[in-house]
Amino acid sequence: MVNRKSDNKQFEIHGEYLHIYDTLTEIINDEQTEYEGELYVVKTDLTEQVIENNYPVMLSFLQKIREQGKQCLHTKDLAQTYLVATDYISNKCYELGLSVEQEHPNEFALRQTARQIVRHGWR
Amino acid sequence: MGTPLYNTDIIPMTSRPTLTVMDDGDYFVILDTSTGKISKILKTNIMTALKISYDNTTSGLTADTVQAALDELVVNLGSSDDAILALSGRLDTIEGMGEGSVAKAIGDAVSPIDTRVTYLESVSGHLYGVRMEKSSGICSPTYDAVGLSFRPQIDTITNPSDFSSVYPWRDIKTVKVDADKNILCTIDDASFESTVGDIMVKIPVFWHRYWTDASYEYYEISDTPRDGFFAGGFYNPDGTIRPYALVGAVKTSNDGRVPHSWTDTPFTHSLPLYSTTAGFQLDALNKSTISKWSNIDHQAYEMVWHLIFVEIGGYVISPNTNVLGFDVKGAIGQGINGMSNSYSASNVCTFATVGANTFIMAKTRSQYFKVGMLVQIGTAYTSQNIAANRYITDISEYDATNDIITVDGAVFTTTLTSTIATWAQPLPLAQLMALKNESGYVLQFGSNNQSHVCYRGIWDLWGNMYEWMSGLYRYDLQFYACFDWTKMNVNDPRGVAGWVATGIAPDIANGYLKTRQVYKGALGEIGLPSAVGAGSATWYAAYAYYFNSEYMGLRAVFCGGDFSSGVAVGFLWNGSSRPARTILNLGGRLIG
Repeated sequence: MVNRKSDNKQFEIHGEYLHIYDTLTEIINDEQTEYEGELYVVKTDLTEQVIENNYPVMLSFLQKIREQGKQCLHTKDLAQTYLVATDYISNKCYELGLSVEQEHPNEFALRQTARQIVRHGWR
Repeated sequence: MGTPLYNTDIIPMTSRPTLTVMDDGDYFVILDTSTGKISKILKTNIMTALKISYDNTTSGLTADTVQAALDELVVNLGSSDDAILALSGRLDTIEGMGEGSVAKAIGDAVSPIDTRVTYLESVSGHLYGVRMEKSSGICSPTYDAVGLSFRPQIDTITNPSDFSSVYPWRDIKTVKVDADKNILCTIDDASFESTVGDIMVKIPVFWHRYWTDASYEYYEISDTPRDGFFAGGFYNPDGTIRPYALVGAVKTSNDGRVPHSWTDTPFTHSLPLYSTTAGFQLDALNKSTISKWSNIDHQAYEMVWHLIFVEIGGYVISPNTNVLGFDVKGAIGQGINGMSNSYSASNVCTFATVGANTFIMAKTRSQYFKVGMLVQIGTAYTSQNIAANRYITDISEYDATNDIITVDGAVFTTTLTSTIATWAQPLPLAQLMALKNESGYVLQFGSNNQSHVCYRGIWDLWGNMYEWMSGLYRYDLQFYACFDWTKMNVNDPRGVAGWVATGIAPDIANGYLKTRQVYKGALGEIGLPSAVGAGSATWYAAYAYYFNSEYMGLRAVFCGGDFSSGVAVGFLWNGSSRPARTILNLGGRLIG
């Protein structure tokens, strides 16, 4: 859901929860500068540094998961949930005799990344 | 032994074809002719009971044969008829309901237990709560609120909120009252629409508590008195507790001096108004001296918001996976907050009209207006000096680049400096009737954020028009509070009887409210702004404005947000204005 706030930080850790924002748009409201973007909230036990390293990948995972109507409650499940949410792509490509890498290069790369994270964790 | 009874020669399927059975008086004799072996079986069916022995060691009878035992039993019970009668008598005792029956005995035993349980339930009552984690803003229901689901209603009532079946939410009812607060009818009565009276929402008394610890903020509602709980919003000036409070269904439709929030008779729309003279706050405070009616004060406000927070505290807004805060906009409805384009200096006349009830303007601007909107036409967009409170009845093309807007009412004249603007919008009666005492919105003007929002019959608590919160002032940052509405009308709260210095003096930048701190008085508690840093959908999900050192001296508080506040509306507090301020987006709400 869209959240508006006073700063333009792309992600914030609040207690056990990670707030990640999609592109933040600057809004001038009643002489106040605010920023608005789609907000994703998941539990996390990762450090700020690890999130900093992985923020774009996390956001991509979360966007796709939400787009597919699935939910992920914790960053430890994020990569696996992304794989589940995008399985349909490789299945369909296999069915049609297409190459996932050629037809969906972005998802192909992210799925490879997701597998690495499932095996080795967030770094 | 006579003629054989059976011979296996004539018994099929036997594996022993040489057996012969013969009658031998008290015995059957079985002869296996293949082996010459003879077996005997006693014929017990012809043994008399007299011949069968009876073991009397456990029964206590003296008989040692079956016959003697039966005889002894018959002697004990009398005849068999006597025995049956005796047994049926016992059955009456078991099955009957009267004196001496098992049922009555059980009933007598259970009744005092029932009474005790009822008493204990009445003492313990029910407790509904929600807690918000300070660090994350995540909310979760507590106590009896666990398992209850809030459901917003859109356009019409479909599946009501679970809270509609439990007290106090169950008994919240829209009513019409006379000037002395007598209830004339409820919204469920057929006579409701034809009855002349002020429309208020009757909220039954309950006890509530707001408290915090290091990790959470807690809001709790009890249907019975408890230690540490207040009946805030239900206290009379003398400290007694009223059985219910009356809260205006809509914003106040006059200057606040008389007890009416809905002036049309017969009404079709409410008309939210601001004071053009002394300022609504002062008008409302003047009225409060009659001790019957008041502008909404901090105690009524806290009471209503307790109901809201607890009810939506477990409602996960899609597509979230948690309750991210008290986001009333996402849970119930946006309220009217997105009309900044139709409230703008840019909406000027492009062709003057004379003696007509039309307004011609550029299509680039007319796109923001809709049939049914209430508009003001004046020499500026903040003025209504040409035509006030007119409804748009038609929008048609005037030429390739302009539209002509027609409004109801008398004719008027416009010039190229005339401006048309929407201010606060009136609530159509049909919307009030559609949602009754559920919560949600009826879509209007094709946009959620241009639609009135309803919380259990109380409309536009956020958006449309700000409302003053009486009984709470700031002076040089510090909050001063008054819990007696007959004593709220002061020019300076410092040292005045009935007012208390809270010792709480936030100095915080503008921003979305994140946490509050509690002030506890003798007759209630107030949550005061403590920190910002939240968002429009997280923590309190609304703005806290001007609680800082740029606004010193005497300041009052208003709340809710207006028609152009955007997503800042909700549990919004503004501490910038002096009590006498007069402005077109600032009104009030009647309580009684």
